[in-house]
Amino acid sequence: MSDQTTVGRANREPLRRDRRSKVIAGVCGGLGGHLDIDPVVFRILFAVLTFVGGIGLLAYAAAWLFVPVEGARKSEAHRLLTGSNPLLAVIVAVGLALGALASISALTNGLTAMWPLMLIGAAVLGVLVWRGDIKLGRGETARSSQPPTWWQQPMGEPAGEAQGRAQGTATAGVDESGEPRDATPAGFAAYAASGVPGGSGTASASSTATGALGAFGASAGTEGSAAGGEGEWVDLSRLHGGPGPEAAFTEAMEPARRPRRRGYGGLVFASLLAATGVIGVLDAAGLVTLTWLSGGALVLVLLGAGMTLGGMFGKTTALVPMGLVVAVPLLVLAAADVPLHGTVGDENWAPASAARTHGSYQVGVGDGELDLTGSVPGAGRTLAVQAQVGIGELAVQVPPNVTVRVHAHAGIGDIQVQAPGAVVQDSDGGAKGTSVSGVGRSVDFVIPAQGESEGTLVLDLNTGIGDVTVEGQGQ
Amino acid sequence: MRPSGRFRPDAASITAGLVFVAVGLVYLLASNGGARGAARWTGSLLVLGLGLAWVVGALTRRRR
Repeated sequence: MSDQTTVGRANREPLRRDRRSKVIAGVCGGLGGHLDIDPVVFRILFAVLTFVGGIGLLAYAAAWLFVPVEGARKSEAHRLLTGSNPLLAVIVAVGLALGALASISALTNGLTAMWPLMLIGAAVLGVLVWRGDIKLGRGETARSSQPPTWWQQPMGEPAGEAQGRAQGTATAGVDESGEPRDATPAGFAAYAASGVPGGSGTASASSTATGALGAFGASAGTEGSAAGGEGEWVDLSRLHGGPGPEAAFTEAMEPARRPRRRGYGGLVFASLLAATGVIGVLDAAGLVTLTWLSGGALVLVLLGAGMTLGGMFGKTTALVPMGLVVAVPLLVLAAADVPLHGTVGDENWAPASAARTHGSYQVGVGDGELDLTGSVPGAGRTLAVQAQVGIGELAVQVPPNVTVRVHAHAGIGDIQVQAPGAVVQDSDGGAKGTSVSGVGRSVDFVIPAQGESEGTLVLDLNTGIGDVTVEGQGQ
Repeated sequence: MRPSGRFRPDAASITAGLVFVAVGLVYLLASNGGARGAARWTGSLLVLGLGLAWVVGALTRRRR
């Protein structure tokens, strides 16, 4: 096979945002085309990362700014910085900086501080819609004028380049699956000239546009002969005797131009983002109180309602993956009884005295280490402390001269005690020893004070997915 | 009256949307307690509903 017929991964083009398979700005489509992976994978990845401190949203925004769209040489950032509108460049830079700050804030202050990201996301979406980068509800005319996306029908080059070559020379092009790379005259010419299907694929086409269309006729009009071997140059006007080759090509292209139903996924998504931001504001203002469970459930209800409402007018099934991204973790976390409150990231608490000890310590995702060796309540006094970790390990150190009463629960994980005289027994009276493991285990035990007791610590320890460890001093 | 081509209802979208609404409502109502019990059957509801939406979508596509 000649160099001209070699296409695909060997000659991978630079990363560009995809105009044809774009949902928002074509970042995922471009990544998918560049890495030869279905863009849906990247869409799900960005959606999931958006819920982890908004990293996905920031990464997408950065990619939109710094990766040029296909057919363009300069990125949006380059155009903004070198353009005639410095105010817009400043606004974008400030927006990105604010987004980064909000992301860091969300990661350090917990999942409940996500609403600024939602508002920023809604604002970014609004700007993109206003600029025309996003078309909410892609209509039939808009879709029919575009060729199929790269994963619907394998293509190896932008439509503009291929159309340009149709006026000049045609380059043979067949992808790995043996189909023409482009739904243009040049693409079909190359396809026919390479002798596919069934041919040796050795022919290299080099012809004018008319010649290219003639080659297409060899494939479309005389399918039997063309299928047998190398491409044969045939003038379509001789075969059809009526309309010219352009008309025959247009006729042959008809199946690819089937009108598609109007989709409202983008509109529903934008509305959902804005609604989630509003809910976050209400939550932050104290007008409503949301947990991760009720918040996630509300998002799911809004998404479903939007899909149903949009479904009255067109397709919204594109939002099913997003619904699953919300619903499946909700199901798993609810089934494991995960207490997802608090911050994201590891936490170390070491109150210096009983007076400085808080009643509750929480980590949403990450490990929590609570050092209570300084929290001695004093003789005859009781200090109650609650500590919980959603996903991660919880380790608690207790002072030796205090009686410690512990109630511990682990959704999925072990409960261990390392203190003299302490024995863990499962709440159902089963396992007994220094550790209990399994699903949904709860235990109650007492760690006796060494020497004279200087008060009592009452601990309520809880993890969703992860181990609970209680360690007494002197171990 | 047959709906116009520009705005035609999509049965699969409506079904899938209703499934998400149902699952969300279950968890919204169970958020004060009982979510763990709800998780036992909402998973099945989700799979059943989305499967149904898929079938409805396939059937309506075939009819068109």
